Amino acid sequence: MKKFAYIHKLIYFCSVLLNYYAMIHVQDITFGYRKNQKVWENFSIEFKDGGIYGLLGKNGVGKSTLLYLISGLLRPAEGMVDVDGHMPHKREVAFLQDIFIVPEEFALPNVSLRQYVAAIRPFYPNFSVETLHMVLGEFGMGAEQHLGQLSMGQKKKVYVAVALASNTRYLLMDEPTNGLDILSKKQFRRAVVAGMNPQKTLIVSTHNVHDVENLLDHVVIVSNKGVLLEQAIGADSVDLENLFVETVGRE
Amino acid sequence: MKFKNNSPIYMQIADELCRRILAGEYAEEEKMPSVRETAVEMEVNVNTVTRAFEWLQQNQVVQVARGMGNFVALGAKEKISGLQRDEFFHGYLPDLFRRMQLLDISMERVVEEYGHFKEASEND
Amino acid sequence: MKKIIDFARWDLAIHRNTYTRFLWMLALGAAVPTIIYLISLVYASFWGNAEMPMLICKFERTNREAARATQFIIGLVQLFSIGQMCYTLKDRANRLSEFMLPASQKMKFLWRVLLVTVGVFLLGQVLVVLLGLIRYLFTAMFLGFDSLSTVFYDYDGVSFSCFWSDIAKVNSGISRQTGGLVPSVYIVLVMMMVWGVAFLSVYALASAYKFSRGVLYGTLVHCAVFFAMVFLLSGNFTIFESYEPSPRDWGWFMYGFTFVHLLILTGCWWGAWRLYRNAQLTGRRNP
Repeated sequence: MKKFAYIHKLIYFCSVLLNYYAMIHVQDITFGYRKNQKVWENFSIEFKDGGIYGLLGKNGVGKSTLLYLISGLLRPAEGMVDVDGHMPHKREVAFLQDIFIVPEEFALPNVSLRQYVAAIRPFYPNFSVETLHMVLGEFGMGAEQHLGQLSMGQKKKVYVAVALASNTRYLLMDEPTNGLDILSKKQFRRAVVAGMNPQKTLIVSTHNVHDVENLLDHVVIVSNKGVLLEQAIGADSVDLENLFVETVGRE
Repeated sequence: MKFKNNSPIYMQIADELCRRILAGEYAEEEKMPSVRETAVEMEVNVNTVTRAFEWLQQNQVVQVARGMGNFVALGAKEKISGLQRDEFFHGYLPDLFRRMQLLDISMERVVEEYGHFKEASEND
Repeated sequence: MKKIIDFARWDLAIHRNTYTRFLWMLALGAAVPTIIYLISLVYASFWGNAEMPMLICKFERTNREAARATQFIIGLVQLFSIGQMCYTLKDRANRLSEFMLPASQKMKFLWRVLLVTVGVFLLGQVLVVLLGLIRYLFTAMFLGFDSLSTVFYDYDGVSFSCFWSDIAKVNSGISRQTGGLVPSVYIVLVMMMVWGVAFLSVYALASAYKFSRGVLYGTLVHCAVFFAMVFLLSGNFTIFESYEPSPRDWGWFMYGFTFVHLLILTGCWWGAWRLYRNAQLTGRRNP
């Protein structure tokens, strides 16, 4: 671990020098929840441009784990994770202010939305209440809500809205469309488009390709062996479903 | 909006915007919805919509006024009709001719059928 | 300064339910003797037996062992209810929220420390005063103002619970024994130690880490030892009747006692900080 401390500082320094924003570097990480069961082994991946990334992969490959490793909730046993020159697991304030994760299971307290926003606002310097209301509007929800009275789907919408309103540089969403009905998935797409801007990098992990395919700037397909495919999908029509099936099938 | 696999998404968006202009939904010399609004409505990436608007601008259907947004260009309707005619002659017809060759259908037969079609539509 | 207030506000807003539940448990735990007393008041006023409340007070005064035992049990209940406070870290989703909130780890830890030490301590005192006042009020209501002097005649004003008076006795006893060798800052240290112990057992209850069980048992034993010490020192020397330690022995004993406890306390706090700082979303026992 020690030698990597130098390497990640070196990368950051070089990138600043080359005026190339070293965004998210995951280098040779190994991680497992249990002793003999490794989820990721000598795995490397890079997210170096802004925009919307689709992190696709089979169910259970470890996409959630990867997102947790990037946000510092988990620490790799070996290797290094670097986000803008920070090591996520150190949980430095400057790092935390620039990242927001929407996990599959999240907790919203039994208070009004207004109170919740008032509580978390001081921690996100770029928090925008206008963005929050706008995104809630896309979800068909008003600003006056009591979080305790919402259904799971509605809570998720609120959480996504707060994530977009926090205006952090990095947004991670773990299977955000899971559990949403078709209308809500539509609303989700609209909300993401409305709440994104070129300064943000959004990584959406999903196994439901169709839910997000038209939103993506880049697609990354992973298996537990590593990155299978990394492609910038521009405005061209890429049949993501076929691409996904082919890529994963080839492996 | 439902997208198909046969052509790039940005082209399909451009086609849809053209359809709306022809249908009068966006009047000539008037401001169109912003790139972001269009992206939200169609549930696609903003960059895709930007590319669509770029294509429309290149083909003089849309006029970009710096800092003010996208406007339907003067004469856009004619432009669009022209573009659609171009597409007919350069895209649709060659496909048709290829099919005719494959199925061994003669031009005379097609003209005959066209005659019947015209009669039928006039009688309606 | 503002940062810790922001974090405090966040913590209290987000975990309002947990803290409310904790408050109720703490209050009820402390109120048990008072409730017994109030029932005796009702009995006294309906059956005209004014002896009962007086007997209860006398019982609490004379039967120290029973009182001590009651307090020990109440203490454990309160310890458990304090555990509710770190319940916030037990739930995975809540852990995620806390870890991802943009505040320094030191700040978050400091708030939890303050909450458990100062917060609970102050709360405890407020409760005790309130309960004492309730006793006075209801005695006056049920048995009339004149009875106040007879019922509470041996009490010096509103009792700050037998526990506190014990500490006061310990302190004066020690000063007397050691001829003023041990300073009364000992009391503050003892108090800090108790709550440090409470905090660590709390965190151990909440965390998912393997060695927390050892920590938990260690702190419970520590707690038990402490109560035993207070029990012994508050004048119950029936066990040591033949042995009368000299002032010098007392001095060594007290200093040694303090030193060892300080050592354990520092270790506990440092251990808790390490646990908190290195905590991951999923521990080895809770994937």
